[in-house]
Amino acid sequence: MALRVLHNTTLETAAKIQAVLEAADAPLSRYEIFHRLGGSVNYRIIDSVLDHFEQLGVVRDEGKGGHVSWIGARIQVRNAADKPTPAKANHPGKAQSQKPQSGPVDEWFCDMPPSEVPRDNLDRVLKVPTATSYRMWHHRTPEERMRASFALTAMAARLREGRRRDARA
Amino acid sequence: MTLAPEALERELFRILDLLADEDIEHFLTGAQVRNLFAEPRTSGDFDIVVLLRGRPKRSVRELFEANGYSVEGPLKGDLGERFVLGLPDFEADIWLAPDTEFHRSEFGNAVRVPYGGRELPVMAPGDYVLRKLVNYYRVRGKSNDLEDAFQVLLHAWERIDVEGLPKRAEVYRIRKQAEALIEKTRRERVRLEG
Repeated sequence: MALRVLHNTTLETAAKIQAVLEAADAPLSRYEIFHRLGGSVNYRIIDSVLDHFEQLGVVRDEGKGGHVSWIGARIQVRNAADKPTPAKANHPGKAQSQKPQSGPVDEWFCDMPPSEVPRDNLDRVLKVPTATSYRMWHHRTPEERMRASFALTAMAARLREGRRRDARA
Repeated sequence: MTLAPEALERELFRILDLLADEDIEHFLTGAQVRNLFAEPRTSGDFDIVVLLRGRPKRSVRELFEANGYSVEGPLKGDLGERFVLGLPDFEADIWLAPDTEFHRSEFGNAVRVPYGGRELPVMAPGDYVLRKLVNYYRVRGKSNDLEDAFQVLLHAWERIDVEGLPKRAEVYRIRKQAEALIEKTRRERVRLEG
């Protein structure tokens, strides 16, 4: 079984990812793979290698936000120059793996699993301030705002403490 | 023990001072950024990001343990890796930023906010809005995250490169969502300022 890779530098990485997956005793997310590789490999590279692994059927997508586990035998990685790179399979959910077109690479978040409930109706989700509360806070200094939050937090803690006391009584 | 606002402030200063004395780069993030720039809310913790630049993780644990804190971790979660410092009725999360170009740029953008006769190192409001959008749409879907992004955009609008935000959001495939939030905030600003 051979792995066709997109770029020569990916060959080495593919072997490292395979080793990480083989050594794991539970399915791993891309995020975990990234960390087990010491943060040295770009998320996009991990993603493209996993795409190839998926096409080869040597990893299984375990769900849970993109966790994968190794199911295949040891494979040989082969230079892209040996054979043309095959067209990508049309996997369900592939839209999630589209690569960003521009901007800085965020190795931390690019491959995080999407939240399960992205609610897009902002008018429904957001609490809009009244004109009074907006004016009240907009013209305060950062220090005044932060001190107010500390007072609120302390008050909330006192309420919790009171409830605990009542529950004990 | 009853939590007092002054005690929270003292704890925050103490933690920041310990990091500064050890030359560990750090900035404040989480609810406290919203609390500095927008309508405040309650919070159960301080969130502080540190950039270790090759320093071992255990040095963070040792630093706080040597100064009397109970330390848990490093714990892994949706948003990364952190140590948790136990405080009375409160906690502080010390987030470990990987030494990547992206994280270094966040440290480069961090701002200093006057507070209590000193300057607090704080995540830039524009970076905060972007992070909160990513957390909401790409990581965990907690409405607090969206609310925090909206509040900071609303109140710190002039301090943020609003026009550049959608392009930055594109990297996370949430450009449309960022544009929708900007448009919503723009409308609300007109209404509230009117």
